Amino acid sequence: MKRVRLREGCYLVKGAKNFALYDLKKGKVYQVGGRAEEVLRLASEGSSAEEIASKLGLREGFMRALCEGGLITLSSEGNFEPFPVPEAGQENLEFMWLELTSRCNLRCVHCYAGAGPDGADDLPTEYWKGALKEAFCLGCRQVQFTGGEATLRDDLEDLVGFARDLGYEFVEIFTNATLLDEEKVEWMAGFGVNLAISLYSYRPDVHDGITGSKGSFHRTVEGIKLALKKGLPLRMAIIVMKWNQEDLEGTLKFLEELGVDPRGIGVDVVRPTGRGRDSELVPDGYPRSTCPDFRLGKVSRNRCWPGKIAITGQGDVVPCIFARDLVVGRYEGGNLAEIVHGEELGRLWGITLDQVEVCRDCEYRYACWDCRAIAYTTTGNLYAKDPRCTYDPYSGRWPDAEGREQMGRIPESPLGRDDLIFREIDGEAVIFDPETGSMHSLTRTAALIWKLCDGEHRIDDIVEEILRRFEARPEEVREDVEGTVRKFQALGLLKAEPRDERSG
Amino acid sequence: MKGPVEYERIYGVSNFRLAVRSNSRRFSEDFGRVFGHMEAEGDVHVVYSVVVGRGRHALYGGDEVLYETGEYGELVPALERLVEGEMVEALWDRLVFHAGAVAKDGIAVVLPAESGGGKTSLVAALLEQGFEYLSDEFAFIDPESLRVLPFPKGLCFKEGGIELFPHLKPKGLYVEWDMGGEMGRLWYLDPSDLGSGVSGEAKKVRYIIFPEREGKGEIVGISKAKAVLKLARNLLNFDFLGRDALDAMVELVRGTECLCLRTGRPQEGASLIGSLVEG
Repeated sequence: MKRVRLREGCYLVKGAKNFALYDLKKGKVYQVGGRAEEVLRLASEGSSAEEIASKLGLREGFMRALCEGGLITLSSEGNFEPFPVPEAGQENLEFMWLELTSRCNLRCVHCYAGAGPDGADDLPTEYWKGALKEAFCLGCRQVQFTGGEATLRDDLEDLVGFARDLGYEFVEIFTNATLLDEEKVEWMAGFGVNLAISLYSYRPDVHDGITGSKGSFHRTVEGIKLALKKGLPLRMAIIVMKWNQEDLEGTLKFLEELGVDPRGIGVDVVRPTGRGRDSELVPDGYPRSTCPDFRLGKVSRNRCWPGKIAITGQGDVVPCIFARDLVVGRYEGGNLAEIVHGEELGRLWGITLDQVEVCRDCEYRYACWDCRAIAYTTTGNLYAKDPRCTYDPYSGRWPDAEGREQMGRIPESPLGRDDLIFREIDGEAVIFDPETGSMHSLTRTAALIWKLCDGEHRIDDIVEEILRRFEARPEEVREDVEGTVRKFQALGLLKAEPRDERSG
Repeated sequence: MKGPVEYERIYGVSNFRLAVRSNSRRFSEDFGRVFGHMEAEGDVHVVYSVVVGRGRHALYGGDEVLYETGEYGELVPALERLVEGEMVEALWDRLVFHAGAVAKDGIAVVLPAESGGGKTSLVAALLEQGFEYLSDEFAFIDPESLRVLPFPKGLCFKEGGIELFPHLKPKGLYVEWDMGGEMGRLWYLDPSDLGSGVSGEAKKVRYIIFPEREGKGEIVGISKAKAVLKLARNLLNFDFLGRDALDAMVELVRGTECLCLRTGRPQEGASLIGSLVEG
């Protein structure tokens, strides 16, 4: 009796509705659909090739075609093993952000670090050298100097040189480039520094409006030109927010015309950290789906923060510069090993999407560029789904690929899960999810909306009920109700049945 | 290696009693500086013994060697962690928060923060401003009475923290502690050395203040729901207590004022808390 065998290095990952095939040898992830999915589903459940062909009524040659396509072979034994998620605790420190200063000569509206001209005092040179040395001893070979504005520090050259002398293989400075001059780019080139620079728009007034500093556009562009002239490896970051969302295409074109390699231009949406928490900054159409990168690199417990730490300008150690509330320790000189090997960082590094609400049911969970920092800062729940992702593993649909109207699709009569524990406190409330151990706080309005998520009230009824109790404009209330219900949905607090029924 | 035991002290919290025996008067006194305010009487549940030798020292739990070292300075922190662990376990049916706690005029202020969140420095600054000492590391709150139990172990400063209180350095018991190849330096301070009284009674919680290291020196109210969330993050035995813990935390915040303290300077933080409590 022949059994279906996946090619070596291939793993089938099941989602709530669909499957994905991970080919670790080729480093690719495939959506599996149609008959191939049915074949693999039955094979993974133990059916032999003959049984599968019979159950599905496959025409002769279908199995052979699959084999010739290289997807499967037929053998005496199947090999549907679970995806090889590495054991927790295997991660080593690989990359470190050092926020050398909280000071910045600009005051960007969205700054994740809340930096500005009135930032706190800097920690001394020896402090950062200590961190570099201890991290190097722990195996770290990549460092980014950032801030605030790192080039405000007089000892930046000294610190970069120190890192290079220690043997750091990758040294990057994240800068607004307004303070770059011939002398600085000269020593940066000498040390083989990589530069990362932010530019927000090709229109000077828009860029200057975001940085809060008139003339910053021209100074940044001059800095970019200097770096290009000196041949410094350059990475550009365009952060999209409401203020510049119309400019993206023009900015990309402008940078290319300056001579920036398009492969080095990254586009990101404003992160809800520091001043970026201002919801007014969020561009239209957010959240947007973070489609999984269908290329696989090194398999790790999650694709973002294992092996990374950031030390803030105040000495707090966090797993990511965008997860500023997740302090795992305070670097005080001599204690980095204790922090890096500590239980708390180990727990954060060890998080897999198998532990995350909704994602645990997604077939792309081992390929996703999920951001725990965004999930945590947006929802207060470390195990909530990344709110940027709109993929629904229960229906297998990509709302933004199917049109903007799909993005707003929420249950008509939302129904809260009945295993959740809801407690009111002076009109506000908390919800405890015993399944994940996570807890959520609700404002007065959200608490009221939650109480109306009983499967009986439709969205319209909820809006009406809120309007009956509060004086507000109907369109604002509707937006609020829909946004809140969508958030409940993203947090996995609603029952899935109504959604499944509608998706047919 | 085990030698005669000449010195014994009994420490306790609630009904739990633990004996620390040693052949060394010096060790007995040094350790007494850490747990002196928790000396107690009664039948003991657990016994630890420390044998100080010539260049080699050992720590026993019953008859089992738990730790051997050539460095005398490591004995106090090694045993401190064990004793603290036993005491925390003995109080596991309370709400056990990672938090500092102080009191004034019979009212307790609880300061929940994660490890390295500046609890000890803030508590020290509050003691210097006349608050009574309850704890610098754990707040044990009875889920029925919602009172916080004193846990007056000596304040334990790390190197960065003590630099904010240089005048206290000479008063502290200084030890070096090898943390996997890196030398940690610790200072244990008797709360009395900070001019503070040590409270022996459980106190009603009136304020829950979450210290944040960043900010421009302000103390601001937060919503009670958010306070429950923040408390839960610092609750060590949530899994053990389950939904009872949630109900107790909800009750706790209902009867308290919940605030965030935003400052990187403990002395400034203490002044803000002092004004709040007195005002």
